[in-house]
Amino acid sequence: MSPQSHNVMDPDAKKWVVLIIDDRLDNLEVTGAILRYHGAEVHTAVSAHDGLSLLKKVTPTLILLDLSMPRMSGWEMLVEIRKLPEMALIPVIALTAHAMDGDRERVAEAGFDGYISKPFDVLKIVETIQKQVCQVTANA
Amino acid sequence: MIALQYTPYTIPLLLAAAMCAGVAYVMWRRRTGPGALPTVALMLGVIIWVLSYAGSLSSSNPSVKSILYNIEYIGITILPAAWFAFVAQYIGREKWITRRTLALLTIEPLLVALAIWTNDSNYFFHGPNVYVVTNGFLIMTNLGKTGFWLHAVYSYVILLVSSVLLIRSLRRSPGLYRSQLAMLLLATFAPWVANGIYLGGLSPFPYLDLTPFAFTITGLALTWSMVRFRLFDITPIARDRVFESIRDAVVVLDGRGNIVDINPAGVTLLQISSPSQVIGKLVSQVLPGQSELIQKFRTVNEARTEISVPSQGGGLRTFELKISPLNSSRGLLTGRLLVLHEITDLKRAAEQINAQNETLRKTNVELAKAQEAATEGSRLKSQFLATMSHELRTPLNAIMGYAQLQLAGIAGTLTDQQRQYQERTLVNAGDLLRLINEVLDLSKIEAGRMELINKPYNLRECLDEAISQSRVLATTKNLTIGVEIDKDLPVLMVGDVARIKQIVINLLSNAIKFTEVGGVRVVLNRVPGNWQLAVSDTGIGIPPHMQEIIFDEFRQVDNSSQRQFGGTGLGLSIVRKLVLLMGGSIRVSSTPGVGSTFTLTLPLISVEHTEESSLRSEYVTAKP
Repeated sequence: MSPQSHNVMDPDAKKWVVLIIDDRLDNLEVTGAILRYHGAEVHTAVSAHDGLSLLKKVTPTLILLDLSMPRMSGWEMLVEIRKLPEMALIPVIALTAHAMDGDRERVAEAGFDGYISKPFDVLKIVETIQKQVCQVTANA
Repeated sequence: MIALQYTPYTIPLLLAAAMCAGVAYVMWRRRTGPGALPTVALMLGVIIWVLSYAGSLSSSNPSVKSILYNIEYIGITILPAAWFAFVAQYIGREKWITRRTLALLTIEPLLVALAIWTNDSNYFFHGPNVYVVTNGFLIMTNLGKTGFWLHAVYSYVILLVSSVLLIRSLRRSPGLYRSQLAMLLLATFAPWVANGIYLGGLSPFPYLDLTPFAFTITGLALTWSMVRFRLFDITPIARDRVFESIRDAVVVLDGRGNIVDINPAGVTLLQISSPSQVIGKLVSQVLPGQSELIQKFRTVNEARTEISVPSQGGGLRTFELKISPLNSSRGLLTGRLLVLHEITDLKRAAEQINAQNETLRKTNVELAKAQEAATEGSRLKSQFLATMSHELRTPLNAIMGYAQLQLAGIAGTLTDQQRQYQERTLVNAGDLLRLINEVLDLSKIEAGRMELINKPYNLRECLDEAISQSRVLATTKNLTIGVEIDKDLPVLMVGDVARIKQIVINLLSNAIKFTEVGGVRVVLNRVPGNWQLAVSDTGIGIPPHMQEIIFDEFRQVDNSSQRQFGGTGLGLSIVRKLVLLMGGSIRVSSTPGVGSTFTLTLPLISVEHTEESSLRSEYVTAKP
């Protein structure tokens, strides 16, 4: 994995590849649409299992992961993602409707690289992602 | 004429009479005491006997001698009755002294008197008087006949019975009483031993009755007892009274474990009708079912334990058993004293207390369970709130997302009408989102689950952010926002910055919402112990009667204003609850048509006052 690929919004980078995992098709559609609009190659999965199989074929530069999903939750999937050696440095951002007090802290504690609460501002999401990922890169 | 002859015998006789008179005098003064009156009678009998004998001896006139001899018997016959009465009282059996007993006891003296005074005609009591000159003295003597021997046997029987009773009753008594007993026995037996010697013809002075002389010993013994052993001062009666009336069962055992005595409480305890049923029996036979206990204490001389005995009404009576050794004056074990003190009620009370304690313990367990259930309930409620929040936000994300995508032109160009509709969708979805947030906040506060995250923060920054968020709306309404900040305020303070910002935004948006012309002014001040934020507007104002209820849930000044100005009526309610949670206060002053001022007061906690190191490090991490 080259360091440049972390900079999802690097104009020089040919492509940024985003994997979105969410059990709600509407949310996949909305998030996917705005990211495609911004030039991303978007892959979607409706379950953690689908997402993990997809990761065998695709190497994303960013993962947006819903937390509350049936069977395998986003929390559990993060653990699985981190087990894959080539995924060790891929930023994973929690995109969740869990917006109660302390949720942001719990997400950070679990090892996510960012947190975006739903409903999110579609027009600002790319900015938000960039800010969080840059922070991760800076800290790393 | 009374002719007198001097004999040396009269001196001890007069001495004896004097001592007996002294005892009688003392006893008369204490005549209410036990054994006192019989002693007086006893002494009077002795005095009569001794004096008339002395007179008889001293007289040289035969007929005087004879009359005085007869008078002697008045005294002599008083003695057995008086002695019996004394013993009865002394050992605490005064109930034996009834009119009937007294009447019976007077029969013999009367019969003796009759026999004596009629003796000259029948010689039933004694033979004819014989006058002998011995050592130069005239002494009268005679031979006892049937009457005399009957009288002698009667007297000896009464004396012996009484003395045996006395010995028996005093046998178990400790030192003082044993000495008393010895003295009493000496006082009693001395005259009778002398009498026996006289009657048996063993006297060295054949015609002299030694008995009256022996009364000298009686008088001495009684006097000595009074002086030395305080005879009659402390009598066994008191002890017996205690023994008889004490509510504890008392059992006296001899050295081999035989019951020697038992008091009425003991009789009741053993459910027997009289002490005679158990006296002389082994204690192990009397207390069946307690053989183990008896075995245990067979060799124990001192113990204190608890025993249970079946009661008549069923159930058990509990006693505290105390065993004490009874030692002779030389320290030899002569028996044991068993005292059974009933503690059934105490025991029952203790059991009740235990039962109550058990109930309390159970209640505590139940309370703990209830507490657990309540905690679980509270946890479920939190869980429910979290789930509700999540489930409401999820579809709202799609709604707002689609609207925003369309407005961004991603799905193609919109007509003005379409754009307007999508904007309204977005605004309404935003209202719904705010409502969800407010309801969740309120629920959390009501459930007591609102937790403040107090950290160092910069109030000015917080205020700037709140104002910049509100400025958009103010600008569209063409309102100004003026800010004034007290220089004395520390840059950093401790508090829940997110909640403080929420409060300030709420106050600002209210001010802007209800103001059409003019502006909003924000003044931040330091006041003692607190900081104060006043948000003033030039809006419609609040009528005085509404100024308090606007902090209640779902209240605006009127329902029409809600339609006009929007909002849920939850904002101020949440603000006030949060402010109270932070230990502050909020108040409003308003003039309708002129404007309103909301004044927020919160505790000023400077960073220096808290644990510097931990907070400082937290602050550093928060602002890298």
